[in-house]
Amino acid sequence: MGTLFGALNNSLSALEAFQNAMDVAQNNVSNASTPGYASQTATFVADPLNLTGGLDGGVASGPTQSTDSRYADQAVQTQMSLQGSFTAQSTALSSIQSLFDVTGQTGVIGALNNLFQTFSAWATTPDSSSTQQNVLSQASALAQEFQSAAASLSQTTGQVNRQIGSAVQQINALAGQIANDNAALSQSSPPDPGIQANLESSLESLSQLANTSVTFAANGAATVLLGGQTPLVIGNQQYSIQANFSGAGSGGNPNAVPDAQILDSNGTDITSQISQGTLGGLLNVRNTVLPSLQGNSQQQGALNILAQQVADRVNQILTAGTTPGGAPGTALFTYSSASPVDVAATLALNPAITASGLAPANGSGGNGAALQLSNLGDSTASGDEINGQTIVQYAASMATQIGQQASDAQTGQTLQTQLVSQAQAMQTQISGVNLNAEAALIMQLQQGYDAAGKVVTVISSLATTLINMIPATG
Amino acid sequence: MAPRQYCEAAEGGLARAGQLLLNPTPGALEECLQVLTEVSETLEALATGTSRGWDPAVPLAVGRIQAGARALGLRIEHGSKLVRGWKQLRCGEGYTRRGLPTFAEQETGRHMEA
Repeated sequence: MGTLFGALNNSLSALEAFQNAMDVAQNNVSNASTPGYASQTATFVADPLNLTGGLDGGVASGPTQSTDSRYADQAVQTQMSLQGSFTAQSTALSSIQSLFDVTGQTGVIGALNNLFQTFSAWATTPDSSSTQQNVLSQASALAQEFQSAAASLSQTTGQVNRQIGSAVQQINALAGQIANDNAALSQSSPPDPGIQANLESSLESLSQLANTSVTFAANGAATVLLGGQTPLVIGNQQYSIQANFSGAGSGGNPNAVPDAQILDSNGTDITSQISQGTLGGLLNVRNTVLPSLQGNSQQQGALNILAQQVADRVNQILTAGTTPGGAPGTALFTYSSASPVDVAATLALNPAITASGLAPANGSGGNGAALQLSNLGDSTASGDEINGQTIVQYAASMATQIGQQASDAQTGQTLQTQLVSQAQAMQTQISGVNLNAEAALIMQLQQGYDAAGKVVTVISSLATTLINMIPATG
Repeated sequence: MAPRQYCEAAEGGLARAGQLLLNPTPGALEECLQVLTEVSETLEALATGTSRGWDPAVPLAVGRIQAGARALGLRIEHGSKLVRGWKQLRCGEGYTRRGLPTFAEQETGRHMEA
């Protein structure tokens, strides 16, 4: 039996080598990040290629070897841009993830669990001074954990700010080099290979930092647009960008950390255009992940929501109760009411409370309030829940979400590293093949990928079958 | 072979296929196809049995296999699209009225629409 590729060369019609039109159309819209099959209508793919041979309008003019190389370069740069994004996110998220222990042993969630356990012990022996003291100790520990988490998030914000600033500096420096190379290329005819190599190297480095699109003039000079829209380099002119961390938020939360902004050379906010590369990844962490926890001008943040709900409900239950001596209860926690985003950072044990000031009793009995507190974490009463989740569920989902994001970034980083290697290997192939052998090689590779893709689909289907066979537990 | 060994063989196969994809030559892709076919046969054999008595490591391994296959699928799709783009660049002759690429007759044996 012959080999697959031997058989293909002999018997398969060329028609079978191509995907049907629907697949092509779907591919064109389903993965804008993959350089390649450039439909006339898919300008997001076609533009970066800048096919000097002129595929636009259906004119075949014999693409040159350098055009092929440029295509391969673009493929590598696209994958490097995604790799840069995942790497930046993975690093930043791993430090955030460590603050929220999904096992519930340490950090805010661990301290929360400890407090509820202490409430439970107190409900059993409400007059015991040692259990009363434990309640105060664990409440203080919880407040410190909230403060510590808020401080760590703030510290992480500062670190990400510095990294964003550094990425912007690197982008501007590379843009300057590209502008210089463009100027040199405009002076040299034919184009100097050494300058072209420098230019390619700068473009590759730039692609790791941000999503850029590049077009080339006849003399080899590169025009670079950031996010496909904002000029970074045109000819020998550089347009610098800058990072801004003091923009005014549009929401109503005072003291909130403003989102990071990237401004173009005119001072226009172009943050939304930067979605990939190291800078894109950092902006995602800075403007999406961190605000979801610590809040910003428009949202309170999960950490503050949790801190406020725990403090408010514990205080309400205690102040509605009575001490063993018959005195009204005292609030256990205090926090700054200056802003919803300050709650976690300012949460503290009420300095006015003493062990004997704890109020275990209410209308339900001598330990009614203490019992209510011991059940608070799992209470499904509407006033106890946060967004339809119990307090414990809300805390756990916060940790799980961060863990999932960190895991996704890590997985993406691994995959992108492999895709960069694949694209680089393809780059080598394109640059080393003579034109006669090239068409045959293309056919062989496409058939190989298509065949492998079909088997992988079968494997995925079988894996799903096996997962469905796993006996249910619990 | 025990279910766990089936899984180990499948995971090993997927890892090997992943390595082969890093070297996109016809020979490597053909070997990759053979390895993937063996993985498919291994999983098919496991799926025809019963899950009763699976040790706890098997469900975890199946999860890893599913994730590995998904990642491999993406890498293959990526490679395929790169080659299609390369083909368009090398053999492209223009576009149909619907905006789809067409390819040169001398390269493909006939004029066609992708």
